[in-house]
Amino acid sequence: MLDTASKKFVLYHFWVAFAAFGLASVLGFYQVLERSGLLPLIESSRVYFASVSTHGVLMAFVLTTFFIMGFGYATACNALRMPLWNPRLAWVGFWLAVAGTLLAAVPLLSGKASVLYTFYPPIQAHTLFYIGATLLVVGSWVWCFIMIRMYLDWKKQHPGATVPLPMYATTANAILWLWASLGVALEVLFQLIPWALGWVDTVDPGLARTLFSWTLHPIVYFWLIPAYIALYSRVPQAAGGRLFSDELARVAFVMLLVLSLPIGFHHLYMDPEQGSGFKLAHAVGTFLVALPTLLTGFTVTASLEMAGRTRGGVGLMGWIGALPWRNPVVLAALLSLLMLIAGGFGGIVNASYAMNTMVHNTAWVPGHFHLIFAGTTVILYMAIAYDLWPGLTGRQLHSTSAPLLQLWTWFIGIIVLTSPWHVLGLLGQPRRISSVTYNSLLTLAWTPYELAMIVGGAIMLASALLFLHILAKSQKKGVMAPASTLDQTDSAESGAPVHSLLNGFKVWNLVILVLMLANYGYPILQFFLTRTYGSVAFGY
Amino acid sequence: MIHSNNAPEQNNREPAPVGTWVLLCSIALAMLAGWLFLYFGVFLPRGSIH
Repeated sequence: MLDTASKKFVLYHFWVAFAAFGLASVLGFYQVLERSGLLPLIESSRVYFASVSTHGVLMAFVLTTFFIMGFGYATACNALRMPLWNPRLAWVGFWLAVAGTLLAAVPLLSGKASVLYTFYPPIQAHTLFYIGATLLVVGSWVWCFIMIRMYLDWKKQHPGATVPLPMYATTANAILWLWASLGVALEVLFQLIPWALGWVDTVDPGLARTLFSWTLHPIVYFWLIPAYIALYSRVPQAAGGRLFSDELARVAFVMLLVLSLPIGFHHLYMDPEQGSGFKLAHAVGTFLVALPTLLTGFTVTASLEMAGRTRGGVGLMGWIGALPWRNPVVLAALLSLLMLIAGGFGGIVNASYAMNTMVHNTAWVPGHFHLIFAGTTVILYMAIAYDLWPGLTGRQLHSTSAPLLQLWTWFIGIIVLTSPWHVLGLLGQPRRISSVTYNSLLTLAWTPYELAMIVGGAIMLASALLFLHILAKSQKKGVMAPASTLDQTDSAESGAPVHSLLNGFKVWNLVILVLMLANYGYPILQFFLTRTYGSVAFGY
Repeated sequence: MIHSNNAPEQNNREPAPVGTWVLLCSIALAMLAGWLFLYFGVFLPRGSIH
């Protein structure tokens, strides 16, 4: 259970996450406006790339890491009914991550780390950026350690008992992140920091990109798993039903853990440093990792169908209308699933080895990841915040209709922003460009889509600000929440016996080790067996 | 070790989620149609890189 000090601790995480989200949202709107060329006064490639790098780092690393840590601490205490293990160490992890964020912010905001959130060499950032990013990751490792420790302590105290699903999934996410972040940690510690400090003159971009690909795909599931936890453990209850199958949910989380790691080469399909055989193996794995998402779609939808029928829904689809659409958690889940369908389709196109050439490095790619991340994932972060806020602050949300308006506008904004973004990709617009006006017939055809994207960006910015307003106002001026709403102990289908493989991780860690050796062993080793040529730095 | 599960008895009383199956199968078919359209209708007609 969360005591008062732990609630404050979780709120600190959430506010750092949402402050980053607010700033990044403003930058996002500036970017969509700048690149359109409609306002020549604000055009500046230097400012644009500083902004887009800051936007990416704040959204992809700061919002996610702090939100996941805060939600993980809350989940562990609520689901296990245990106090936070070693709060002092947990605070150390928090402040390490804050210090890392602030250190990285200095070069980012001063244009000395305009390397985008993937920071691919040979574009070079100031050393502080790499050190800051490292500290942020080290802070998150503290969280991983505490989550695993609490999971193990609970198992020791409850021999043979089934770990509650939300905690099982949270532990899977901590293990996933430890495995996933190893790739980028090796890249930053052994390649980028020595290179940025001038200890070595050149860097091998092929090796760096290979190590980053190790992190780049599973990090998406690191972000997504908290959203899936909400879908499995909060949504069925909020809809008035129960989870369709606890075991199917565990299978999905195990598959996400095992299959999301050894598949990063779909980010390197066009790269010359890896062979087509390994790329094909990673492509097959990429299609396999769609399975746990399909399982999640099925289990959550079936849970909602059961709830809808309990609420009087009849006929083949009548249960959909019977769901409590005015409940923020249910509404966010339904909108999230809709966006997951569209985003999942885009992901299958990206993963298709041959067809990837059609969308590679085009506007399709940011359109896709904004739909999956800002759409499917962040809308559930918002719902989780609304769900947890009364328990954390002791106050009810100040309005029942404002969260619904906020979630709908976020959904509409995402659709209006990302649909034309995908089309622009198919029309051949490159990604990562600061201006799209070349005064040619080709780029003139892009204009209507750019205008639509500006409208989408404006709607999203308004929705983001409304989200922050709702949380701040509720925390300050909300009506005191009744005591019954303050106990957020999770009762989601925990306790039913399951197969031991779905209650532990030993075997799955071995499976991951074997798969990683098979899919990344030689591709990394080859850089040390053959002669390769480094690159000097490009950058600020 | 495999534990016995008491849930099936309760699950047997639940109606099958027919609506979910129909919905998800429809979505899967739509995705397949979309993929085939993009592959044969957009990607292949563009020809080889030149």
